[in-house]
Amino acid sequence: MALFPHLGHGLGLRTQHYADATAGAGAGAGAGAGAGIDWFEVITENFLVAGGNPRRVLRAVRERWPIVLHGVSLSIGSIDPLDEAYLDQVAALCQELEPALVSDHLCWSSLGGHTVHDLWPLPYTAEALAHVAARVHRVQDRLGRRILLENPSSYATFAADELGEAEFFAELCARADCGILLDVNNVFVSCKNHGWDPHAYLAAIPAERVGYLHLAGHVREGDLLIDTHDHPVCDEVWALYAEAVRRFGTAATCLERDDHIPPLPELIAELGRARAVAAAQTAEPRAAARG
Amino acid sequence: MADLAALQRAFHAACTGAAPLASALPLVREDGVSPARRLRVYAHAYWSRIAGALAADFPKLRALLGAEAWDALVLPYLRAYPTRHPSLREAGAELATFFADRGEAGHADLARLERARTVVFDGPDGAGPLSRDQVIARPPEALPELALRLVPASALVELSTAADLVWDALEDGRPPPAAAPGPRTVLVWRRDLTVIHRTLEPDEAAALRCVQRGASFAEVCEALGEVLGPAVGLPLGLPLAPEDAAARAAELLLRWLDAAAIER
Repeated sequence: MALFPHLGHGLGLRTQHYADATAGAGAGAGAGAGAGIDWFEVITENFLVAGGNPRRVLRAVRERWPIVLHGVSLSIGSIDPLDEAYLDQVAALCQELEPALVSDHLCWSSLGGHTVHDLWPLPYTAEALAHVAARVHRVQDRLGRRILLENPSSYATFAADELGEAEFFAELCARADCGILLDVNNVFVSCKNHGWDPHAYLAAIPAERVGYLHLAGHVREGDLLIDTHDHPVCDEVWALYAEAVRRFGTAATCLERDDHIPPLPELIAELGRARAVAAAQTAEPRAAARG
Repeated sequence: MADLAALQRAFHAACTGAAPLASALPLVREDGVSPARRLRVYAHAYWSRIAGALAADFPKLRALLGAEAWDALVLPYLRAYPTRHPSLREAGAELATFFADRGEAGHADLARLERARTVVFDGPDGAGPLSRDQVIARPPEALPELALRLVPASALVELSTAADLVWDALEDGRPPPAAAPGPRTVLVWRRDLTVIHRTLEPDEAAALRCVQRGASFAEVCEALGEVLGPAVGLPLGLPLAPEDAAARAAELLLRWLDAAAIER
């Protein structure tokens, strides 16, 4: 039995599309079968507010679509204590919305109580693995559900590293019984930035643990790729997405855009391309799954 | 080999500017790109992401200061008041205090006003505003006991300068006036989904402070009587005649009801 529901093809909800989304624009024909938007991913922290338009929009969207809560401030890898007040707020939001999935990032973003609002890379060491696994257990106990962690785009790795990122994920899932939000663009960006092999990366990810996939755009800034979410998905990432779908099958997909956000129909068209790429892969005989 | 805690402390210090970037270089692998270049991505992102959020929440203050001066203030602000909340929405919570610390009262006031508008924007939803018709439908003899509360998404902002006039000018695209000193009170509230603010007359400000604490209409009349006494032509120092205070309170009540500022 699959660990995660197949949601189909969704979009990251952004303020620019609030009016369209509350009016029901882009509603598909049901989870996994739609020609439009099958579900929305919302940034958890944007809705940890008491009321007003954000909460109104969230309620309206939830009435029509499945929702996935995607956090950026869990700071699962920090040596700081877990932020219990934050977890209480996320738990309350889960109770209210009954999200299909809850995700955050494999990173750290706070130290000494200082929140840096970025996704800083972890060293992939045995010590970090034990630390993160213990914290994932505590978060899952608190929320009463399995969480998914996303591979961040990274620009630095550490001399202390003992494992590859994908191997770290595989071991973490085994120890903590969590899931993976696999960002295909981030795999591409990090592999380019560190000289990793993206095919080996995908092969090392435990397929049954992948709850959904992210797609986004990036830019090249000199000798590094930067994960900016301000462009359409590039051809190389589409190719890697096709490979990911062959490997991970029916995992849901979410298209993200955070800057230079186009009108909703343009994003729905890009989502349609994701749907077509996925359909083409799943129509073909499945490649033998590795790992 | 650095352990997790030592690595995080060194990385944090280098990328937030608390220590030279070079102090964390030995931690980072090269793999074809210099460690300094790699760390600079994080150091820049730390600053720029929060700067972007602050610019979005304080557009008038940024326009007043100019983009270059604004950018130059972000890092000193973050050093003085590091962000401690999971949401970027709270990044500007101490900006008014930061300017007050520097003795810049006009900038502090404008920050206070813009921050209040942000807080009210997604403040709590209430049961809905009390309408004029709902008040009129009550028996007249029950009016003194009518409990008045501001809608929950509201704030009374106390200013020491005319920062509200600066806000108005920037909103209208006019050159901003100098923020003249002098106490002023601004009511910020949310009507439907729109955030509105209005500068209050001194007696109205006193009455709304009373309402903010939770007051009946009779108590608002009493408060107005105390405030207006010396100023309406009665012998100096004597309180306002009760019927005049009641008339002014009724006028203000209708104003607040029509503005959808009183909670049902």
